[in-house]
Formats: sequence, structure tokens, C-alpha cells
Amino acid sequence: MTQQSDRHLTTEQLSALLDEQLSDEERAACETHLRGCRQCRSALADLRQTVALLRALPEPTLPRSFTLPGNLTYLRERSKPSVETPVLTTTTIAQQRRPTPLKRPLRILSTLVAVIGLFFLVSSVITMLPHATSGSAPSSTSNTAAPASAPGHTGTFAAQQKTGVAENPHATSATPGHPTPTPSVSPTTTPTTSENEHKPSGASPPALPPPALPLPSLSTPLGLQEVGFTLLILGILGLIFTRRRRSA
Amino acid sequence: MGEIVRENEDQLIARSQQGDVDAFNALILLYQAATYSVVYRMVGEAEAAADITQDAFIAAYRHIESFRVGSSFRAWLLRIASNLACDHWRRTQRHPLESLDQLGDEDELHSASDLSALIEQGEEHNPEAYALNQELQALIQQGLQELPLDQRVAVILCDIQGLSYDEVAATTQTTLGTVRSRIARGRKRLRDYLSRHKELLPRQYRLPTNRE
Repeated sequence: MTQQSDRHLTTEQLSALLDEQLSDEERAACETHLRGCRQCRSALADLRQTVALLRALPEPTLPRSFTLPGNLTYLRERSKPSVETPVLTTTTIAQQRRPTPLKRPLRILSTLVAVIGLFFLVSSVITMLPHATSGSAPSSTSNTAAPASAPGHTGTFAAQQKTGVAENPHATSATPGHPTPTPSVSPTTTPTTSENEHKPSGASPPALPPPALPLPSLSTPLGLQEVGFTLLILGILGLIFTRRRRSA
Repeated sequence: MGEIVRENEDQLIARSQQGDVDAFNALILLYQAATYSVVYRMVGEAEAAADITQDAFIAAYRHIESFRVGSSFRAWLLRIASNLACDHWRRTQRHPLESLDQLGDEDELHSASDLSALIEQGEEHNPEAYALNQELQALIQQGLQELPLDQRVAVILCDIQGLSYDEVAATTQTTLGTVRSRIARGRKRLRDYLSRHKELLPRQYRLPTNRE
């Protein structure tokens, strides 16, 4: 079998053969080998095919003309003509001119801001939903919450009175003639009972405003919505801004 | 390039070196298609390619005085452009999210190609007559982007732009031997890539099985 006798041709030899970049002897040697070697012939055909595909690629359509405006003289670098590595300097200039390294973090930041804004908006809508279904605006819920807690207080008072009554026999039986322990028991029981009573009425924490917070607007759904909307707008503006600079 | 054009080009370069923007714009008109094409094939993204091309011309204009009269202006220009494209590639490679956009841009760009011509035509005798469909173009473009930058530049300059080995060597500032090896390795890698994806190729493009 003569096919496997010689060493196979390297890709570099085959590639150079395609471009007629081999010396005469090298070329003759390659051709002799190719005549006997089917494998190398097929490898050559593969390479030729690949090159043909590359050559057949159409030229991309120009998106615009790249001519420079007439008043560009300020761009000229009045340097000595003996700059022997223009490539190195051009890359640094290009980086100075277009702030791509800055643009990316800016884009990411504005996307983040927009997402956070959207999150705020959505969460405010969600917190508003149960009140909306009960048919009352968020501002009125805080008003309704107060009367709702009022019966709770009366309830606790009643409960407190009951415990007082329940404890009183004990107290009276333990230390007769000392009615003072009863008032001292009642203040300790009121906070725990009132907390229990508050839970059903105060199901939505934002309805009870804690005004001591540094960002009070975030605690109400309306404030959340406002902040969310501002952030969203800011983020979108940032995105538009970075996009425009890119295409300009 | 003809002698008259060549002479004209030298004059345009000389005038550009005196600060004549119009002369430089005439040079841009001569070379913008080739420059954009190289950059586009390098980065595979139309918008970024346009930015890089514009930057390359601005940089070339700023440094036109450093261009040595008598050497190849095309090689000089393509060197600036391909270097900027390489910079862009290295920067964006750290953010692979971008590759999602690339596929989208592909379709809009080559709307002119003729699909029907592809099906009926194409024996291996006359491969230049091929008109590639869009999927095939996108596949080749993707394959180019898989190449290491030095091989990619060499293959694009030689096989797509039709530069001679000498001109590729001048553009990439390397030796003929290096050019030869880069082109060979780039072609082989691209061939392997295409045969890995040959199920996507129309029948007449399918490469026979690999040697390895």
C-alpha cells in the first residue's frame, strides 16, 4: 500500500499549497504524496471548501458613511513624524475618546436602579391589594385601624377586669385586708393582652405608620410607589443615555 | 489596485498629512467598506463594528503624519482597525452576555443573499459562485469568532479580504512564516468547527469526515 508509506502532509503544507505559497520542490513533493494518499486529498478538499465558503461570504452592508466632519483639525496631533508605533497610541486615544469602560458599569447600574424601582412599585401594589379589595383607600385604612383597635382596648379592659376578678379572690384569700395588689397586677397584664388583640386588626404593618424612621415615605404603599417610580424613571433615563452615546 | 489610483492615493495621503480633511475623507471613502468588513468579521456585531470603524478612522487621521509614504496604506489602516477590534473583543469577552445580541444582529445584516440560488447550485468546481444562505453565513461567522484573535485576523485578511501573505504580514507586523502558520491553523480550526456543525449545512457544503 503506497497510501500510508509517506508521512502525511501537514495542514500548513496543504494550506500553503492552496495559496501557491510553496517552493517548487516542496510543491512537487506534496503533489507526489497527494497522488498516493487519499486521506490528504480529502483533507485538501476540506480546506479548499472552507476557503471557498469564506470567500463566498458577502461583504456586510455599510451602516453609514464614516467620513469625518470638516472641522476636525483640532483632532490632529502635532507630534513629531517619527512615531514608529502608531497602533499602541491609537488604542489609548480611542479609549480616551469613547468612555466604554465607564459605560458598562453605568448601564448595569441604571438597569439595577430600574429593577429596584420596578420591585418597589410592584411591592407597593401588592401591599395595596388587600385594601383595594376591601374597598378602602390606603389612607383611610390607617383611620379604620384606629377604631378597630379601640374595641380591642375595651376588650382588653374587660379581659383585664376578668383576670383582676379571677386574681382578686386569690389575693384576697392570701392577704385579706390588702386591696392594693390588684392595681399592680393589671398594668403587667395589659401589654400582653393588647398585643394579642392588635394582631387581627393590624394584619398590614404599613397601615400602622412608624414615623420615627429616617425614610418615612418607604413605609407607606404610596411612598413606596413614589420612590419606585422615581427609581424606575432614573434607571430608564440612564439606559437611554448610555445607549445613545453608544450609537452616536 | 491600478497605477493611477495608487498615485492618486499617494497624493491624498500627502494632502491628509498637511491637514486636509477632504483628502482624508476621500481615503475613507476608498477604504471604509474593507475596513468595516474586517472589523465586522472580527467582532460579529454590526453596531460595535461601526463604532470601532469610526474610531479607527479618527485614530488614523490623528496619526496620519506617522504613516510612512511608500508603505501600504491599506495595511496601515487595517492594522489600526484590527487592533481596535481585538481590544474590543478582549474587553467584551469578559462579559459573555453580549453573545446573545450577536445572533440577533446576524439576520438583519445579510438580507440581500439569495436563498434559492443556494439550493440548486454549487458543484465543487465553481465554489465562488455560491451564494450562502443566512444560516450558513451565521455559522461561518460564529466559527470565525471561535478562532484565536491572531488566527482570526490572518484568515479574515487573507480569505475574506483577499490580501496576499505579504500584505497580511505587513498588517499584522509579523513574518511570512507566522502568517502562513496562522492562516493554516485558522482554516483547519474553522473547518473542524464547520464539520462539527455539518448537520446545519446544506448538503453540498457538508465536509467529509475528519482526518483525525
